[in-house]
Amino acid sequence: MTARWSVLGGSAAGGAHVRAGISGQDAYAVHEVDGTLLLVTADGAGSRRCAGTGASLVVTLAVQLLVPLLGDQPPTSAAAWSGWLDLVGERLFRRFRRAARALARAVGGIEPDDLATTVTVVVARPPWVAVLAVGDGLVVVRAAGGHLDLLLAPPGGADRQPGATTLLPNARAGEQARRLVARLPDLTGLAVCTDGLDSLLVEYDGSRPCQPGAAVFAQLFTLVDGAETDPSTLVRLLNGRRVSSLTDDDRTLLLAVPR
Amino acid sequence: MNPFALFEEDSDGPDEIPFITDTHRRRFVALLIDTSWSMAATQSNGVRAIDALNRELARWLPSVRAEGRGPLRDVEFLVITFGAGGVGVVSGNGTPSAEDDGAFVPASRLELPTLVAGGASPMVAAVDLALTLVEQRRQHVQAVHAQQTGGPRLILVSDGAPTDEEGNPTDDWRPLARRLEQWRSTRRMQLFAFGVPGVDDEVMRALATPSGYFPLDDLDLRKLLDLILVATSDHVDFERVRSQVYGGDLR
Repeated sequence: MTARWSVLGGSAAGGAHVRAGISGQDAYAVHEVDGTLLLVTADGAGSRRCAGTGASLVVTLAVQLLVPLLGDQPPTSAAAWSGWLDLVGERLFRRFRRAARALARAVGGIEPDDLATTVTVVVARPPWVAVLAVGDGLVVVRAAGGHLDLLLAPPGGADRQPGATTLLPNARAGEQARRLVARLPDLTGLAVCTDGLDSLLVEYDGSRPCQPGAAVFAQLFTLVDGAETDPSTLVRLLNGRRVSSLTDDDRTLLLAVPR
Repeated sequence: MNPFALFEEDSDGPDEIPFITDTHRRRFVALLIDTSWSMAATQSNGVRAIDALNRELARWLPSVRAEGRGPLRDVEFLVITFGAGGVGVVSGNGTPSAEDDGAFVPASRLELPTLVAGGASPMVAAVDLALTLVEQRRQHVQAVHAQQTGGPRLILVSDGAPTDEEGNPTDDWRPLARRLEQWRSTRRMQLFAFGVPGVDDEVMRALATPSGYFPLDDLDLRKLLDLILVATSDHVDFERVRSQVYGGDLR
């Protein structure tokens, strides 16, 4: 099987977690099956005791659920993809709620909400890109000519309080999940990240996210555009002084380009 | 040791990437400092506490301004003192105004005058003023600049008990505690209260809740200011501050 995607992924703990000597609360996974790419990121809620475990759990469940499906005949229309996302979301959220309850019972002294997390699932099967998201993840797509679009934008609005996001396993999180399907025949790149990076990567008009930063994404995609990529590059970048001086949050970034 | 120091020392990383450094968010941090007579009467290593505080503030402010160009670039400070001269705004233009260029000042530009100690300890009036100005500032930033505003944060430092403007003991902190509870539940406000020796623990616990109150064993003002900087960070909770206070992990 020949891989059809080049992918770089990395994650770094925010300054608060580093100084406290604990790991970050983001998690991610990348899988490719027969040219269909699965990217998953999750950002555990910093205020919750077992948020990192929640993030790892939802990523694991997403991989368990989706990888066996990726080899199937993919949907061939936007409506079919949309229905597929509904089905996937329903199963994933139900499994996470069930697992969180079981884990809370087994551990004792914690509640399922202590595993609160976001999740962003991206399935790319050109020309289709499908996104399922709970919380404030970010997905950027690049088309031919380097044109960038915010496929999944961070929630905006002046009256929105940063960090005030409905998360899994809250039952309303599923209702409020965002499901997006795009047909992108000239897709040349995908980026998925957690909210720790959104202010560094997205240009805002007031409180409204308006577009991906062209200069920053142009350089980020060069990290994965080359014939041979250095897997450590992105990790070094996310842990580097520059990024650490600009954000204290955990941050995860996945970059993918079709070969 | 920072397990990621290895990466931080690596200068070959692609750090030239032009990240966006403007911020679309504002966070309001109100710092309330007790400057009542006891700060003039109390000695710290043979120095009046207020003089030691001014000296440590002069050391602390450059680090705040440096952080204000990085992780604290979305923070606007409001600094209020209660003591000599009653309740007063000492940040920005020194007036109780929530307009631009008023009492609120970005962390990168925070400067403070030399603080003067004396008088009573009108803590309740100071917190009231902070709540009023923070709410006015939130409305202003949303209406005029259309920017997101995070939950406000109050950082209260005291070495005594609340009084009225004339120095008489007051129970006005009881209704204030109820009001603060409403702010916590409806506006995601966080109150970190630091008590230095002489403080009324009951009052501070009532205002900040037991989780948000951190009594300090001594008048170590450098440690106190470092704690205030920790409490200003975006991703911080009471547990982290508690570990910094009592875990022996201070710089």
